[in-house]
Amino acid sequence: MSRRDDRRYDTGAALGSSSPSEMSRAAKAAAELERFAGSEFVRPSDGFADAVMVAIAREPLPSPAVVLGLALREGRLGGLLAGLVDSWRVARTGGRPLAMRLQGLAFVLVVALATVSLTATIAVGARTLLFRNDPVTPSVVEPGPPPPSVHAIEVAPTEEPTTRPSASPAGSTEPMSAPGATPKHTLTPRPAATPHPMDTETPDETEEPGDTETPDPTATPHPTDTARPTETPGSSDDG
Amino acid sequence: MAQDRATDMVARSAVDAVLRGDREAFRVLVDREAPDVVRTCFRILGEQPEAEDAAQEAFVTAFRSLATWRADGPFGAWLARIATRIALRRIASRKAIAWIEAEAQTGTNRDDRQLSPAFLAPSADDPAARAIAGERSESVQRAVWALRDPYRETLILRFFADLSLADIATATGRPLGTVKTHLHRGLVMLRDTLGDEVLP
Repeated sequence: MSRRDDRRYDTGAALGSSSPSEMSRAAKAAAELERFAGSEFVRPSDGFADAVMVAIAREPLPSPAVVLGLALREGRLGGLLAGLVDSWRVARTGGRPLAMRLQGLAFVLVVALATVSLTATIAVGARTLLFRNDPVTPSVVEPGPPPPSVHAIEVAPTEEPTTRPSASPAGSTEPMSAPGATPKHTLTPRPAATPHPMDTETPDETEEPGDTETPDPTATPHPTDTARPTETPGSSDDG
Repeated sequence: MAQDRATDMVARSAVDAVLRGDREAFRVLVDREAPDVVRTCFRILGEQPEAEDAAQEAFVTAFRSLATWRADGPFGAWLARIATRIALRRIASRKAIAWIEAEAQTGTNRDDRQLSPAFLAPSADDPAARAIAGERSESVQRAVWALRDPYRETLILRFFADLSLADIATATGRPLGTVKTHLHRGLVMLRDTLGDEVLP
């Protein structure tokens, strides 16, 4: 450690822009500090050095790993960053054992790789969240005109096209079906059609509006093949 | 300057030996720096047992961080900065305890810790004069504690640790001009804090 100067505080060292009164105040404070710190008869007690050596005997040998580990354990982000900077400097500058320099370089590389990986993962995840197509977003799609069907022809008064599958062998009558009309058993394919709640094949499997799992148009079931006729909500047998 | 370079080379050799695995080489640094470190801590804390505890903690901290010493300045300056921070941390924890104790007591809000005789004027034999000198020293000490960093650190490194401005600049990583500014402003703030009662 440097020995103290004869004059601890040199007014000439003060900034030139300081006013005389300010310099005077600073000089007074400096003199007081010099007086306060004037005690020179404080010495380490006997055995102080031995106590220090005993304390460091329990410590691992110093290395960049130790510095970073301590900072990490204590949750000191600033210490961690400072340790990384120091590791890089130890790796680049000479005057250190080769093992120490390699260790410093290894730490910097590991942290750099981890940072890049984390950044890439976050970027991919953010992109996925922002641009994903949500398949279950409810949408009300206006049913279009149904394709021609044999069963639909039989129902002469029916103006409303059958657009929903029937879950009942007896057929669920459309609310707008004309009285006496033959129940429609058509499972008109309409991939985009919104199934009517009364026409669900299986009431306990009510499909979400806009559900795309509409039966294939060529797979129109025979009325007798429809399952669970009694479970159709609101179904009525007009037959 | 030549001596500083020589002692710095001694320190660098010892540091390199420790980094190569020679733990005992650290004793060279302890024997060389212990008086200054203990004195610095004593000036901050005011009690020798506590000052030695802080000094020991400073050496252990320096040992752990030995690989990060830049060797671009004196080892003692780097160690003094570590010791200063540790001592100030103890001051902060001591203050917290004192405040709690003050709340539990009535009619007092001062630390009742007794001053070490080292703070009293050595030549003052009159007990009253010694008491007055002791109170004055305590006021100075408290005023230094109350400063905020970086001014407090600069004042302590300059007046308690006896470092030159250049060594302070190296140890803190700040430009020399900045250190001068901090020193000057710290002294002005200290003077304002102490007031005319202590510094007529």
